[in-house]
Amino acid sequence: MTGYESRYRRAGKELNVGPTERLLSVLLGGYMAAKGVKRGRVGGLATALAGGYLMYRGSSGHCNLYERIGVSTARRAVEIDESVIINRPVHELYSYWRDVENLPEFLRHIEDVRAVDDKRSHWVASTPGGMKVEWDAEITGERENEYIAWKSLPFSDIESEGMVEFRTAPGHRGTEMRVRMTYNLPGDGASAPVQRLLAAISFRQVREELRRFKQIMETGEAPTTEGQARGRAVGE
Amino acid sequence: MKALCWYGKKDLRVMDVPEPEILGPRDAIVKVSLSAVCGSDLHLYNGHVPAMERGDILGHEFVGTVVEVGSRVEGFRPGDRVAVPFTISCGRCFFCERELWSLCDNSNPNAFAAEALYGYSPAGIYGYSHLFGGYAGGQAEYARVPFADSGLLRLPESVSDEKAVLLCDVFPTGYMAAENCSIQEGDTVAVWGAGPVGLLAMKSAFFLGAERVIAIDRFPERLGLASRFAGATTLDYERVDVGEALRDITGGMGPDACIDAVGMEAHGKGHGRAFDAIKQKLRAETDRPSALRQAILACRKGGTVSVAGVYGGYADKVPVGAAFNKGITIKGGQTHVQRYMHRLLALIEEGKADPSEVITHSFGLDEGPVAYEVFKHKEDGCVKVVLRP
Repeated sequence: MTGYESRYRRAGKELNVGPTERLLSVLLGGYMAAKGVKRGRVGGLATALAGGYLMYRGSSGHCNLYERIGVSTARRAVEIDESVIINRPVHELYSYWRDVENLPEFLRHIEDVRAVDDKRSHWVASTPGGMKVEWDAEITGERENEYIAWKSLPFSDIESEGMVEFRTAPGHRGTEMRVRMTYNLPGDGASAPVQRLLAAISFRQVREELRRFKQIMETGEAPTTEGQARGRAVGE
Repeated sequence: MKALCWYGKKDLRVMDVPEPEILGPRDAIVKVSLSAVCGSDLHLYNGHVPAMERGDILGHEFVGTVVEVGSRVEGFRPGDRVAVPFTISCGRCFFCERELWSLCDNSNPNAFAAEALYGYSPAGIYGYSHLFGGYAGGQAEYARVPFADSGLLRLPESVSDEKAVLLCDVFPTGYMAAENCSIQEGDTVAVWGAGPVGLLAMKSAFFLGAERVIAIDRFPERLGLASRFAGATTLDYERVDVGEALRDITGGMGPDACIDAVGMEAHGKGHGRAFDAIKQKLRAETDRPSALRQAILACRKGGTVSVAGVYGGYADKVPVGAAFNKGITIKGGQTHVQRYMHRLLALIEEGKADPSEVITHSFGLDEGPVAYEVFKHKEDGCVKVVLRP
């Protein structure tokens, strides 16, 4: 069971130092600590402590100062790992997912998925503010009624991969599904829409999207109150 | 259409609002012929339930006639006379399949909000705050019923609106409260609160084989009804020490089961009452659990405390030590209305029960704000109010 660490990591311990900087931080910190200890006295002790903190910062990947001033040099990534039990047989859920064009029905951050051929598809995500991020993806592995895995093709605006697993839940409860998705910035930096998309996607949002999937599969609709009758005060 | 809308604490207005429309394929629209005001509506009226929004249409007890159905509604069509259970249930999830209708997994569009408060979300409820889905209620001329095929009960001609409207919530709620007591031959059941739910819980306790039922309240007309309508022995908690009286009545053993039909706005008496009222005002506790406390303390060893009164959040000084060390079973929850409606309708049809005897007042929908005031203050012996559009 991987993926749980990132999901349950407490707020404030967020990774906000990039990998190169972490390495430099550890090296410089180590050098300062060694120098400080060797020199001794108050000045040396202060240098050693500062070096110790740099080593901690580098090894943990978390910088308190960066957190305070809202800076991050870490490569932003979103990792989603959600499970849901749906009271329908495995084959029904599997075939719904296998037709990737169905996915925007409940994945609300995805505006459109178009199948190019049996394996490849074109994805369009919309960001808050109405910008679009597009990429091509390919199914990289599948076994009928067990799993489907996909990955964005090279040179996309965003690196995305995902996997959904299906298994019959015990006690006639239908199907237990596990969905894992990651979104990563590509190596060569990111455009504003991609950064917005990464900032907007959270496991909470995906949890809601899977709830919507469950509702559609179990009841045939996603219940809503949008558009219902209600009173309004004058001017409201 | 006209609808009774919530605009804030003790601020209800009869508004002209658009008529409801079919929003989902399993929706139906019902033309309401009679609705009722529930004690739990008073929690909204008194501002104790968070997540109400200005303009929300109230009401979760209503009967009427189907006027329109969605494309995938089976078994009902326009013209059918129906009662609507207050719990909105999909009929297809793990919980609905196990008849735990009020715990439906799919009917609350705001499940995330309820999950933050309760861990997991219960079913949606009409007119009962956005925590329970924010569905428009039935104290209106028309109402939208989602999942109509599991959310409607067809009514025979012989059953009046007054009898049927009590099948939406109150009668099933009283019945479930009694059923949760696992009543055995010879049992004594004590019921806190002789309001509509308490009265029907008393009646149901006898249906389910109780030897004796004891009603605890402080209003003479309600205690009178408990005696006349339900055949209960009555205790006025302002005149007697309830714990001592129950001990005496039960030969020093305590009641086998205790039903809390009061809930989060209990009045209580003495220091406890002041303590809870202040804490609730300061928002340091959301619920005033004095009936629940008494019920747990009074219950016999190994007995059952059945909670029918509504609780919403957190309560202080609940005697968990007494509950634990006396080995008490506590049961409760919103009513699984669809589980009980058919059998209770049968009781009414056979003439074995007439729940409408608890209805004391009838108003037009236009007079809704007055009706709430009368009901809240129990003016003029008010026990149960119905509204006719």
